[in-house]
Amino acid sequence: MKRGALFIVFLSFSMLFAKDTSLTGSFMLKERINTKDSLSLSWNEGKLLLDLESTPSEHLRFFGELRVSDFGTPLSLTLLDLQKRNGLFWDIREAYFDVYDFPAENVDLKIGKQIISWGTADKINPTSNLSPYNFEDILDFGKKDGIVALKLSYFSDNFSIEGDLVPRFRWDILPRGDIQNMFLNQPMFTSQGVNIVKSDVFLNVPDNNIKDGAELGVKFNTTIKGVDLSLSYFNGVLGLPFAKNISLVPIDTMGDMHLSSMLSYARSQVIGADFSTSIYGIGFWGEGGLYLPDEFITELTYPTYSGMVRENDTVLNDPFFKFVVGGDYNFKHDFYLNMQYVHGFLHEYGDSVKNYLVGRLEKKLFNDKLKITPISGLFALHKNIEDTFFYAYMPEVEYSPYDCVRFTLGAFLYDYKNFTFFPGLDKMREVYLNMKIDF
Amino acid sequence: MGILGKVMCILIATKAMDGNVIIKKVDSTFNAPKTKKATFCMELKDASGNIEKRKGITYEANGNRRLLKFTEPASIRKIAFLSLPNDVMYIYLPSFRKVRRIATSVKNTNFAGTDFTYDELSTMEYSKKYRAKLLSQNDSVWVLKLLPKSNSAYHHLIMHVDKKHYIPLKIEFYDKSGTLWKVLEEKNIKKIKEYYVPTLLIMKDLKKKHQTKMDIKNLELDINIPEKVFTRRYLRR
Repeated sequence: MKRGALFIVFLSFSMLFAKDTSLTGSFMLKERINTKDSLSLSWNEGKLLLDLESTPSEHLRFFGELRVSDFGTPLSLTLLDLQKRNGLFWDIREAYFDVYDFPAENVDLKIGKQIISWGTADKINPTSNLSPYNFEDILDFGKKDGIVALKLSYFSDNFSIEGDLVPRFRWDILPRGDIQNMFLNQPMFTSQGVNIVKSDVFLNVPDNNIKDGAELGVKFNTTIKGVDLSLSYFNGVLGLPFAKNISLVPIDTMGDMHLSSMLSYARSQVIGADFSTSIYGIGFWGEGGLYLPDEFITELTYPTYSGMVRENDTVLNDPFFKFVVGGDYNFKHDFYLNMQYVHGFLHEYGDSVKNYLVGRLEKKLFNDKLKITPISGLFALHKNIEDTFFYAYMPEVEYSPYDCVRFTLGAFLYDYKNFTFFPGLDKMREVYLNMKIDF
Repeated sequence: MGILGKVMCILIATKAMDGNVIIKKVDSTFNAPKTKKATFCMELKDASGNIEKRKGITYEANGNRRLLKFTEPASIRKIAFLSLPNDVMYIYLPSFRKVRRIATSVKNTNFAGTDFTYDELSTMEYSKKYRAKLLSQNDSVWVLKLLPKSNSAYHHLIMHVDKKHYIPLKIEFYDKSGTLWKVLEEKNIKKIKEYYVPTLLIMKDLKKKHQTKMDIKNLELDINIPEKVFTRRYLRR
């Protein structure tokens, strides 16, 4: 009901500013088959994006994006689900006003729910912590959602500076399905004889006050000798939860256990820097964030032969660094190569930070109507590659028979040994077909 | 006229016909208006006769800054391209809400499915990029051979320059093996203020059997375009 009202407000803007208003959008159908699990349909989504834009004056612009997703059958059915018509999901991804040259010349004010995207790296941005990531579709990682914020930017000839104030933190959206375990940062109880028959996960979000829930960002940008540079500062809440309390309680004498965990969010400061340039035709970029987290301790309670034991594990305390360096090049005959070295993936913090090589090779054909990506993937770098490795391979073919119509056929394949990047991905080996229509 | 006078006339005539002088004049004629603003309609036609359309708006200043924004179709709406001096280029990708610096190797690749490369849609400075040699001429046209000064996708260009207005009416682009690859024709020359400008550009890719027709409309010259238009700030708008 509340969202329905928001939708009416959303559309009302089009009537309010009808003269300089445009309503555009896209419809996307995403179908996925898990080839390892009896060819089950692992993703079945129809997604509608409606973009409303209005520029009632030279100094004022409104933009809003409404997202409606229908996931068809819910992941697990109950009798109550049979009373529902579908798994419809509504969300206003963005709704903000740009006020240009306000409150002074060369100062822009942006206010409302907006995506604040920092950093020069491709999709993996260690300095970009204000807007939440949307990991709903893990194969489409790097996407962000809007957050209610006030952004003030000042532009001069040689530099620009922006300040962002987020009154209330917003958490990252976790992936659908069982792979969400990869983000929960809780240790896996895999010891012999432990059989978890019941599991409860509780969530504790930061209090609704400025001290615990507000976030602040400042970013300075300039260009020196053809190199774009920026320095940034973030003070806020990390978007993924950590386990605050974990207790393992025996419920019988057969070794059956009840696992109970309380997840919570950690605050951190991040001092960031990035650059981008082009040398001899090659694009280069780099982006790094020095994380200065507040102390975060996980309290573990578990049984031993001598009784229940309680111990503390410091998950975050020491500063840690995440960075990405990369480059791209356009070869003859419309080949394009993009490579990145990643120290710390999006969901990794503290001691869990690891190293990866991420890249893709694309080939465009028929005036961009067909794009083939034969090589695309992620490779975990580890000293002992024979005993410990992980790679994900994601080839893709994209075909656009007409303007505004696009089909994408791809696969997600992976293999690993003694590596815990995707602990929940054991059953995931997928082929997907997407169709997108822009209007 | 004495012998010395005749020699001077021959020298002046030779100088006047020098290819490098002509392309410098072509550049200065093209870049004579301090600013340009126009809308454009592109028509992309493939070998089967299928047609796709692109619409957008461009701003230019001082012959070395250009901003190009697509307004149609919906799939590329709001994608914007900014070209600045020293081969600095940015693109705005609306789906990521992000402005990205582009590797300069993109210069020789086609822009948004058209037959124009990023370089050809950037700025027009032939004399900086090519050495020109006069091949032939008639009453109305000079024919020049342009050889690239540095690394280029082309082996050479043959340019047909209108003697009256210093406008390249036709440019043939030859690939590294010397085979004719692309042909650009500039048509519908109109007088706007004191300037003569072509308002219809047709680029044909003979290998792909594909062509792009760019119809320039609402062309305004020497108007006030604030410097802030050619910035990353404006690229997002």
